[in-house]
Amino acid sequence: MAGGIVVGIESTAHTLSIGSVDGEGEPTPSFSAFFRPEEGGIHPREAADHHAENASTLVRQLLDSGIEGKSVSAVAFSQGPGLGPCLRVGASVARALASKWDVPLVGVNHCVAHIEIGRQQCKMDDPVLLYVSGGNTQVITRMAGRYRVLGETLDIGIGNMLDKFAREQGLPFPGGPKIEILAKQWLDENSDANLDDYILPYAVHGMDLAFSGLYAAASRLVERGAPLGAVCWSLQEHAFAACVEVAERAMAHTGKRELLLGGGVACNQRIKEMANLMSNERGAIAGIPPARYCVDNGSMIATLGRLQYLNSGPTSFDESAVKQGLRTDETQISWP
Amino acid sequence: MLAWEEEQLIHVGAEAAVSSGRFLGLPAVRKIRRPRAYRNPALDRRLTTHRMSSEAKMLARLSSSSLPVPRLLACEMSSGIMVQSLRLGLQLVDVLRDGKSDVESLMKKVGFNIRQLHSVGAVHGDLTTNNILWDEQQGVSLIDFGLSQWTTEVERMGLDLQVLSECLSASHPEYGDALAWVFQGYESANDLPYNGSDLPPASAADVIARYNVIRGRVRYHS
Ligand SMILES: Nc1ncnc2c1ncn2[C@@H]1O[C@H](COP(=O)(O)OP(=O)(O)O)[C@@H](O)[C@H]1O
Ligand SMILES: [Mg+2]
Repeated sequence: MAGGIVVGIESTAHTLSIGSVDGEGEPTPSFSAFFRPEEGGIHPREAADHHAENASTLVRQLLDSGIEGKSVSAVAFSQGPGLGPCLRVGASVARALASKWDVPLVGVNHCVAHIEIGRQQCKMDDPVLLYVSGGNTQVITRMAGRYRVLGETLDIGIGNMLDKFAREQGLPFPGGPKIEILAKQWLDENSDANLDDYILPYAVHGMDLAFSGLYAAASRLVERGAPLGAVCWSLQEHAFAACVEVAERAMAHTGKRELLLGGGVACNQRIKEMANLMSNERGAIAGIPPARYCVDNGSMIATLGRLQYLNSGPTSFDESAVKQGLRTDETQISWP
Repeated sequence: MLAWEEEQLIHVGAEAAVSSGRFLGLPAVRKIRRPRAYRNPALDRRLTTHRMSSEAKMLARLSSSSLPVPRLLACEMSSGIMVQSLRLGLQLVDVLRDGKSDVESLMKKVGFNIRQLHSVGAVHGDLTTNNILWDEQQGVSLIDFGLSQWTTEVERMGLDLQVLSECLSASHPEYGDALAWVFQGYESANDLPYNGSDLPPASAADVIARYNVIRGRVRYHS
């Protein structure tokens, strides 16, 4: 039955999230559980255990919100890319719900879901997406019937870079928001600060970027006595400028005039400001979805799931295995 | 700038505005690097100065080689203005979209020229299809050396191929063999003499092997 509710399940990394989209394509905020590692980086097995423990609570919250099996027409899930054990939890929950309600499954690409929820929220037609999250940093746009990666990080994702630096400085996980606060406080108190006093590497290669050298150099600045707030500020200025620069290069290369932000790092005020400034200068527009739809969330999976279900049909059981290394350009785009 | 006669604005890119005209009567282009408001001003100045000086030094150094690159005619650091000789041709991105040329032989020539650049100990740093020009008469040209570096490091050379590969697969997926043709040209090129004092540049085969390692890394982390 087309036109019903589509439920979406996200579980690629830290976040287990269940959301939905109505028959008109309007998403409803998701129910989410966020895994915070005790120390060190994310451990796939521990994150997967966390997801497994929280799944039934989230499903209950979804049902309590008034969703009934008879009004659901499909269950979508993040098929990849992501951490295998985490993905498998989401896929199992999706299969369970789909069989309970006797509706089809739709396996979707996590990165493409960020684009589609962003387009829906910001009413954009043909944007260049700057996708900045923990594990991913990519510049993506639609060309020849697929979303194509024009540029990406050559080493670690920007969010992981920020978290790694924060961890080394003893800041609690997730480090990105804490770095943002420290940077802002420091700048408020030192409004005449000169970034040349806190030089860090700036690694742009064509439309690609690299961050690992940046994080190591930032740690060294602190070791040599630079105030932590100043280094947080410098780290943001360098890393975000590089992201916005590659996005602008992609816009110049493709001639496109809409910039969309997505991913958890897109919640940062400074990167939003930079995206707006760059777009204004180019006579383009920047679209920044609300934070709940920038971070990983089930509603975006439902949004893409609905488009895919209506235009390309469901995913058969045989094709529903998770794909850790799923590429952005593997999804055939059959909707406007 | 003295001696510059402007004809028309030909490009407003992510970094620079480029116009065509004449310099001391010669066909030339003028490249003005604009300050970018989104960047912290100190960072912006540092990047602009660095990129201008990289481009100026690289073009000056390459001017004694047979490589198809513009000649540096003038450079005014304080105002971010650079004048280069005009290279004829269309950007490769447009040539490929247009689809009228013999893409196989064109991509082989592109690979050939990249290898010759590497063989003298230089990496381009920004090998997208915007920065390669193609003209029936003048052949392939390489332009836009702001991210270039004088180095013989195999990693940097592999990165040049990675940047081109990413751009080709995203923007020109209809030419699935384009990269293979580039590599054929790259491996077939005769190396130019290397006059630097570092270890000589890695062989073409080693650079392609390194490209494959880089590709693997990028795929794996994502
Ligand atoms: N020497 C040149 N001869 C001919 N065209 C050029 C030359 N330099 C630049 N152009 C044109 O201007 C465009 C932008 O110049 P480029 O040096 O690549 O600046 P940007 O850093 O903005 O990309 C090029 O893609 C090309 O079309
Ligand atoms: Mg260019």
